[in-house]
Formats: sequence, structure tokens, C-alpha cells
Amino acid sequence: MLKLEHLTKIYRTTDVETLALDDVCLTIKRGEFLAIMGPSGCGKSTLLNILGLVDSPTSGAYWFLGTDVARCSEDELTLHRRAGVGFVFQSFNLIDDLNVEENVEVALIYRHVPSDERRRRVAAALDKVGLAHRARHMPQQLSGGQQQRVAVARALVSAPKIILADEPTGNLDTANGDAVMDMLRGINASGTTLIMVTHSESYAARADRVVRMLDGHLMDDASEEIPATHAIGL
Amino acid sequence: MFRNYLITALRNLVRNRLYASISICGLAIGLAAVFLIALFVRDDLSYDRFFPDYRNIYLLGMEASLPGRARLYRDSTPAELAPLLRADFPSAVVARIWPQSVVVRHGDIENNERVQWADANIFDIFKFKVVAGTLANALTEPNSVVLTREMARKYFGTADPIGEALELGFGADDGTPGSDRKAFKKRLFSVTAVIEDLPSDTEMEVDILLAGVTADSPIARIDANPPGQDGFTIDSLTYLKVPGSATAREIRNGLPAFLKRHKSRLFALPYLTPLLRPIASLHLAPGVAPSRGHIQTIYAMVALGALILLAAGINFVNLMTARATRRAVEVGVRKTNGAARRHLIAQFMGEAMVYVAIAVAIATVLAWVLLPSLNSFLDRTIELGLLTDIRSVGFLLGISVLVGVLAGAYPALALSAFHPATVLRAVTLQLSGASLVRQCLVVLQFALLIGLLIATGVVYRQTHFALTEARRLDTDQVILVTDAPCRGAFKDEVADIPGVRGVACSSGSPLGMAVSLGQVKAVDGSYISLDTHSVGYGFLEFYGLKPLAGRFFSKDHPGDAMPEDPQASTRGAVVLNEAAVRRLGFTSAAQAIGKSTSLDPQKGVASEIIGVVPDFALDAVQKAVPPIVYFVYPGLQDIISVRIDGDRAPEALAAIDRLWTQAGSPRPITRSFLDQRVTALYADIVRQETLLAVFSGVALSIAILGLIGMSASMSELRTKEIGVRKAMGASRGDVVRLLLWQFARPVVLANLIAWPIGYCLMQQWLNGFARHIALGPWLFLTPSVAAIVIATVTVWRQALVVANTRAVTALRYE
Ligand SMILES: Nc1ncnc2c1ncn2[C@@H]1O[C@H](COP(=O)(O)OP(=O)(O)OP(=O)(O)O)[C@@H](O)[C@H]1O
Ligand SMILES: [Mg+2]
Repeated sequence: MLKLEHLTKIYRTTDVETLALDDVCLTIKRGEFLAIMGPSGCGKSTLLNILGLVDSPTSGAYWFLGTDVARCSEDELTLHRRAGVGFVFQSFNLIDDLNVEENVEVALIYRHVPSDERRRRVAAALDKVGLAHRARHMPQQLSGGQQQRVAVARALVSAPKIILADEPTGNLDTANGDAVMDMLRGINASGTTLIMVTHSESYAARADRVVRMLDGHLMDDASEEIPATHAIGL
Repeated sequence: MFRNYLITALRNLVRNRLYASISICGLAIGLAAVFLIALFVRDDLSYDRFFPDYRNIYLLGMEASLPGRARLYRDSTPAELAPLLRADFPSAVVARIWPQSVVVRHGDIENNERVQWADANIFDIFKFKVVAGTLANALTEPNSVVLTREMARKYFGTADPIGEALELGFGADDGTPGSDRKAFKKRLFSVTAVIEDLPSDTEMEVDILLAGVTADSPIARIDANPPGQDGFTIDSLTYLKVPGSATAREIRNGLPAFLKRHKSRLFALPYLTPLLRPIASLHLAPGVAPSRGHIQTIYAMVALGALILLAAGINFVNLMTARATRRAVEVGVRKTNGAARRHLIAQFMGEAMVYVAIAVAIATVLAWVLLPSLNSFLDRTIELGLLTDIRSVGFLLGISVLVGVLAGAYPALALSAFHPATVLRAVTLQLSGASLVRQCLVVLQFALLIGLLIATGVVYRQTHFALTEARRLDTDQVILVTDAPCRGAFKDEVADIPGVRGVACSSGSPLGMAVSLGQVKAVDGSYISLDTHSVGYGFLEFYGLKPLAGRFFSKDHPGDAMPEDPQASTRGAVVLNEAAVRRLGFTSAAQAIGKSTSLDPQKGVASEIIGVVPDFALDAVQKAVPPIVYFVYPGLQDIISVRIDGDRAPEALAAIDRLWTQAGSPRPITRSFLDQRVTALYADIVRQETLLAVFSGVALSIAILGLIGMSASMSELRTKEIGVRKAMGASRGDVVRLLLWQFARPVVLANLIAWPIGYCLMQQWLNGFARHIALGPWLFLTPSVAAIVIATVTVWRQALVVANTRAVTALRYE
């Protein structure tokens, strides 16, 4: 369902050119849970941004649900993104001025969901992440783990086909990290494709497949499946 | 979606109270000022438009172009024109108003009042609002009077004195041929109607309308006995109402032929041409009335309004953009969740609109609260008309939406252009070009501030100059008794009152002497028309003037006075002012002394030049001091200047009033302090200066508000940097210097903009005065220093707070 062909991303600043992604080829299947690992600066976030349609590659092709979106305009990307992508970020990125409920609701606003259905789905999503009782709290009044769970609820409320998570546990302690991982795994188990960047081997081990990156390249074993882990999955 | 935006907007507003209140208050104050300015300008532009059918009402005035002098405009025309106009232009309604000063009395209430003799058909032209009685036939009967509500209250204590009698005393000299100069008559007039007081936006003077058909009326006398070629008066206001503009054009084009046709029945007025002007245009047209509006004042006010709006707008943009970086996460999240750019533009524009709406609400209330003060200051009756006038509501909304769109556009466009990938990297964000835009806005803000300070300074200095210039005459404790006979015993008796220090006579107030032109012989033998004034002995000395050369008039030289007998072989002596010395062609004051000139082009009877007096301001400084020739002719003098002792003023005044009554004059004394007249003469300039100062103050406070906001947000943005610098060993002083320098640079740049523009504009303004101050460097340096001080003071506090923060706190700030 997602296919990258010879994808390159070059960041150009006035004096340096950074080759953040170098000839990346990758296929991701529907319902798959893919973990991306690699040292800092190797291009993980760049790859995730391109997969999530918030950034465009410099060259190469990206087949997103059957269309090549590599050359799409910002507006077209917005439409595709609206149709199928949810995000979870390392730094939560909740809107300070909105309470928990309203933050989750933002994911539905631009998708033209009628307001009573919106309310229902937000409540369901908050229920799923165990924060229904915090619906009226402001983000500043929550712990890091709770904030990230709100972010997860926001990602899943729109029922996207793909959820992209960039180090979702990076700012959390083990207990909170585990809880968020369990949640993500659960969403994946119900059919949503999940692509996650992580530095943790143990969280990566929960994925169907792990790709490793180094200096913008995918390592050779990347395309190999690791069927064993599938069995361990929840 | 809308609800979600509204929530973010309001919560953001609450969370950023400082910035929000600065932008909203600044905008509210600015808008309130702009609303008031707009009301003032609209009032000035809508003079006399409250009369129904004002478009078809015209005033027949005259334009005088005397050789060698600026054009003069008169509103009044000879009264004998009206019957001829009626006959020749039957489609027009022609009615006259002849203002006159008379004594009005009812019971114990007695005053000198301005009354207006009027043709009965005046009400066919002006549809006044009736309070009591009816206007049809209100002035058809002799000795009927129509009062305004104010006058009815004043004399009868009620707005409905229909049928009551009002006593009028008049007749001393209304100047019409056939009027008896000696006789003073008392007549009873019967009140037939009361009309509503006119609003302040009129050039018409209507207080007490008297039937023109009354035998004592100058109108009736002229109608009964047209002076023909024997004489003329130019005292009547002739109004015309036409069916449409085509008729007006026809009349205007027909006037020269009309005058030619009736040449035999009219006095020849060589330099005068008739002028037909719509009444609505009179306020801003050149004229004699000092209360007339000036289109320049309107331009200045509009410019000031635009500047204030600009200053408030800049604040708004600045604060919105400064805060924008803090909204980056929100933009990123909304974008990753499918918000298109137009959604975000709509959101931030909408947010700007919410701010603007609040500001508009506050501004409306402010304007409403302040309008009465403005009205009493300007002596006008301007109304806000929010509920009644659809145009003022439209203007209010229009301005607000415009400001909202302009001020919201840049932040909205810049914010919505954030690339989500960049935003979500969570590095400190800079709007594309934001810092440059902000730098420019700060420079512009300071340039405005400096420019306004320059303008205020120049206007203040010029006003001060104008007022002291006028006081080169020693006007201290001088009272003027007008319409006073100078030849009788009254003058000498007044001089004997203890507490009176001096007395002098003249043919007009020393300020704004009535123009009386004479033909004066120049050195080359030709005759030039100059101002001539008759003064009494000791008049020039009385006002503290000293001869530049020669001497002033003296009783010891019997030849100084102009003989009463026009056939005499001498015409007395003259004193010239400096301008007249130059105009007549003498090379110096000393050279003119002892030379002879002549005031008599017919026979050329000589007058000796005995002295030269320095030029002194007779009139507002807008005008140059004209060349003037002084002579002594007691028959023409009707104003007595009396200098009294400040300590004994009340007794002296009472004694003067007593002498006036004893002298048997039928009318009450008319006296006033000269200083008050000076002030009245300059009231316009003083008003203009005060208004400019007030509105500059408004712009100034908005600019300062903006600076406070800017310095707060800039320090906030740099908190982390400052933490790092402190960790690296920067002292508090280093940090404060760093932040101050950030604002010092724009001030320097702002000077480069403000100086040349300020210089050009103020030079142009000063050129409107014949005598004005020079634009010295101090007028420019002081505002710049002030701007630096203002910047330092506003930034100082903020800089200190930031500098005092411990490095750790600053670093953890994110
Ligand atoms: N906007 C940008 N401009 C220039 N260079 C960039 C930009 N974003 C990323 N890079 C560069 O591209 C490379 C890949 O960056 P990326 O953020 O993808 O790394 P990462 O693998 O996510 O690292 P980390 O684990 O630290 O988050 C880095 O060398 C980085 O310096
Ligand atoms: Mg990263």
C-alpha cells in the first residue's frame, strides 16, 4: 500500500547540502507494524515526514495508496493526508489553548465530520486511551504520559489507514512508554498500518518488521521480514 | 470548526493578556481618535446641509479684486439688488437678511444683540423647524419678530411667547441713506413664531428675525427709496432659491448682463464682481468671517487620523507576528491533521477580526464619552448619530474591517505558510522574513513618533510666536469701548476716573482694523491704494509704540489734524508704518520724514510725513502686516481705548459704565478687554495647536504601547539566548546593553526618515504664515533625543527583568 522507489531527499541550505535520504526503496503492506531504527541524524524523521506527506522527496517515487504523490502540490498532499494519516510525535505537540477533548477534536475538524458524531468519536477515542475522565483538562495539567495518550487518541480518532509515530516514547519513562506502546499495538492489531521510529530495541522487537538506517541509507536486511516477531505480537 | 477557532482565539487572548490588551487598547484608542476626527471632518464638510433642499439655495456675494491687494470675498451685497433680481429672474425666490446690532429689552432683561432684518419670503428659502406659531406670514406684518428658542428663553423664559411684545432700540447709525444718525428710537415688536436653534454646522446667523417691511428697517428704507447712483450699502445678505442647478447656472451667467442692464440704477462698484455660491460651500470657501473652516485643517486632521491608524495597525501586526512563533505547534498540528492553508488564513484573519471587534466596541464607547468634551472645545454640536445615521455606522464598520484585514493579513499569511515538517522539528521558529518585517515596522513606528514630535514642536513654537508677536502692542489691561463718540465730554471724563491710566481714540480696533482704503501718493507721483486709519492724539504712544523716525501726532502742532472742511488747503500730517515707507518708494524711514505725500488724488492737496511707526501685527499672523497710513480725523473715530489699573479694575469699570449712562446714551455700553479679543483672534490657531497636540499625544501613547509590547516579546524570544550568554559569563550590564542596542538602531534609522519628511511638511505649513519661525536644528534634535529616551525607558524595565533571570531558568524556559 505504501511504496518508495529510489527516494532521495536533499536539504539545501546556503552553504551545505545534506543528503538526508539516499536512494531509499521500501514497501509497506497494509496492516503492517514497521519499526525504523538508526543513529541520530540518519534520516529517520525525514523518512517519516515523507511517508506522512508533510514533506516531499527531492527525487524518486512514492506510491501512496496507489498514487504517486512525490510531485504533488501542498494542497494535494493535504487532501491525501486528510484521507489517511495520523501522527504521534515525540514532543506530543498538543495545542496549549485547547483542552484534551478539543485537542482530539482537531483531527476531525478538517475532515468534515458532523459535530455530534465528532463528539461521539472523541469520547470513544479518549475512552480507548483511558482518559475519558480528563476530557476537560488543559494539556499543562497532565503528565507527560497522559499527554502522549491524548496525542494517540488524536491520531486514532480519525480512523486513519496509517499512523506515523516519531519516537512516541522518547520523552516517557518505562511505565508510561509501555502503556503507549500497548495502545499503539492495539490499534495496529485492529488493522491500522503503524510506522514507528524508536531508539528502543525492546519496543522495536514488538514490530512486525524492523528497518535500520545509516546516513540516509536503508540497511540491507531492511526488506527482510522477521516472521518470528509476528508470533510474539499481542 | 468555527467554535474551535473561537475557543483558541479567546483562550489565546486570555493567556496573552499583556499583548492582547496592548494591541486591543492601542487599536481602541486609535480608532476612537479616528472616529472623532471623522466626525469633526464630516461636520466641517456638511455645513448648512441640514436645510431641506440646500442644494438649490445660493448666496449672492461679491469678490473684490483691488489692485495690488489680495482678493477679498464678501458675503454681503447691496440690498437694492433684490427687487431687480426678482424682476429679471422670476423663477428664483430672492430674500434678504440684514444683520444689525440693536438694543433688545423685555422687562429687566436688556442687551445689545445682533438681530436680522429679513424679507417675509425668507421662510420660502429656509425651512426652519418651528417650535411655536407658524412661519407662513410670520414676517409679513410690520413690527413682527421671529425668535429662536434660545432667544425666546432668554427674554421670555419660555419657548412659546407668541403674541408677546419685545422692545427694540435702534437707529443711531445703520448707515443707510436717509437714516437719522442722531435719533434713537424704541419700538415694540410682536412675537409671531419661535424656531428651533440652528445646529453649530451653519454659516448662517439667525437669532432674532425682524420683519423687513417695518418702517424702521434698513430694508424697507432702501426699497422705498433706492439710492440709485448716489450711494450704496453692502450690508445685506441676498439669498436665492432656484428650482434646479440649471437655473443657478443661467443666473450666474446672466449676472454681468444684469448689472449692465441696471447700470443707471446702481452705484458703480468698479472692483467688485458678483459671486453666486451654494450655501453648502460657504464654510470652506474663502470669506471674511473668521470662524470659517480651513480646508488645510481638514487635511491636517485626516493625515493625523491616518497616522494614528497606521501606528495602531503597526502595533497590531507586530504583536500578532511576535506571538506567531508560539503558535507554530498549533499550526503544525492543524496542518498534519489536514488543515489547508486557507483554513489557517481564515482562522488567523478571524482571530484578528475578533480583536478588532473588541477594539471597535471600546472605541465606540470612548468616542461617545469624549464627544461632549470635543464639542465644548470646538463650540459645536456634533452628534455621533450611531442610531440615526446609516453612513456613520457604515464608516465605522468599514474602517474596522479594513484595519482588521490589513493588520490580520500579514500574520495570517506568514503563519499559515509554516511548513509542518519544519514546525514539528520543534526547533525555534522564525517566520519567513518576519524579523525583517518587524525591524521595518519598528523603524516606521519610531519615525512616526519622531515626526509627530517635530510637528507638535513646530506648531507650538509658531503659536507661541504668533501670540507674542501680537503682543508687541501693549494690550495689557486695555478695554475697548466701541460705538463711542470720541468728540464729546465722555472721553475726557473717563480719563479723569481714578484707576484709569490713559485714554486714546481710533477709527477701529487696533486689532483687525476695518479696511478703509485710501489713495496715497507715492514718491514717483502715482497714487497707490493703501490702508488708511484715523487715530486720535496719543493713540500710538498709548499702545507703547515709539517712532522709528520723526515724531507722532501732537496737539502742539495744530497742522497735524485733518481739517473738517474738505475745501481747506491742507489735509493734515500723516504717519507711515515701515511697510508703507517701502511701498511708497522711500529708501528709509529717515528719508521719508518731512517729505510730502497726498491722500487726495482729485486735488493733490499735500500732507506732510511727520513720523514712521514700526510694523505691528494688526491681524492674525497668517497675513503680512499691510502698508498703513495714519492720520488724525476726529470725525471718523468711534472706539475709545482705556487703560486701567489692574488693582482698581472693578471700580474703574463701574465708573466708566456710570459715566456712559450719565452721558445719556440710549444704548448699553459695549466694552471688552483687548486681551480677550487678541485671544479670540488667535483662537483658531490655538485650537488647531491643541487638537494637534491631543491627537499627537494619542499617536504617541499608541506608539509607546507598541514599544512596550515589542520589547516584551523580543526579550521573551531571546530568553534562551540570554540564558546561554549568561551561562557563558555575560553580566547583567552586558544583557541590558544588548537589548537596548536592539532598539537604539531603529531610532537612528527612523531619524533618517522623519527628518527630511518632517522638514518638508513643516516648512510648507509655516509658509502659510506671512511671519513665521525658522526651522532650527533643535526642533529636530529634541524629538530624536526624546524618542531615544522613550525607547530606553520602555525597554529598560523589560531588559532588567530578563537580565535578572537566573541562567538556569532562562535555559529551561522552553
Ligand atoms: N530542515 C532541514 N534543513 C537542513 N538539514 C536538515 C533539515 N532537517 C533535517 N536535516 C538534516 O538531515 C539529516 C537527517 O535528519 P533527521 O531529522 O531525519 O534525523 P533523525 O534520524 O530523525 O535524527 P534524530 O534521531 O536525532 O531525531 C540530518 O543530518 C539533519 O541535519
Ligand atoms: Mg528525529
